[in-house]
Amino acid sequence: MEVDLIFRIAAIGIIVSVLNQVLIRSGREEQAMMTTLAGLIVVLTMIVSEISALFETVKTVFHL
Amino acid sequence: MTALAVCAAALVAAVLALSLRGASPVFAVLVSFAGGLLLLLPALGAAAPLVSAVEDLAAQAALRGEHAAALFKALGIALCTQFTSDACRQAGEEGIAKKAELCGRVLIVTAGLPVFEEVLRLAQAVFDIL
Repeated sequence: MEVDLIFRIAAIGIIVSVLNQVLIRSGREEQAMMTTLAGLIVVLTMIVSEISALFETVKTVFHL
Repeated sequence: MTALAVCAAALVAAVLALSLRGASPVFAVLVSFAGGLLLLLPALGAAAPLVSAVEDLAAQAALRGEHAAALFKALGIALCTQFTSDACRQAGEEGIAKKAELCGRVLIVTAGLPVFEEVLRLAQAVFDIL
């Protein structure tokens, strides 16, 4: 069981939110938004493969 | 995978999602997605022999193969659409969740239609005899 996926996503979330706040405080709103977007894309690429694995498993188990 | 591991993973995901909700709600939703996925994937892997056992039982009970297949197809569609609608609801999109559920219902009715048609044909045959 890959529990580390949860930890990885949470870590990326914490890092991105800290970076976001630091960048906003230093007056770089555009870069803050870009950082959030980049973190989101990284996490989504991690999750999409898992979602696809889930649907493939459902397909094979229930003969869809 | 033990039951304790499942409970621990669920609790960890819940606490992490809760702690992220204030700072970045998007990542909280993603953590809860990942938690749900990680719990559901091993459960499905464990359910595979169960499904084949039920199929064997259905074959022994003289249930026709396509009827059991329709049953399992409906179960799979329900599982997929329920997971999707729960995920959408968690992200705060009640409307999309409702549409995913509606889509699942339509697909399940479509999957069960041949069995229903057969029931109707059987009923017609009985009435013809009478």
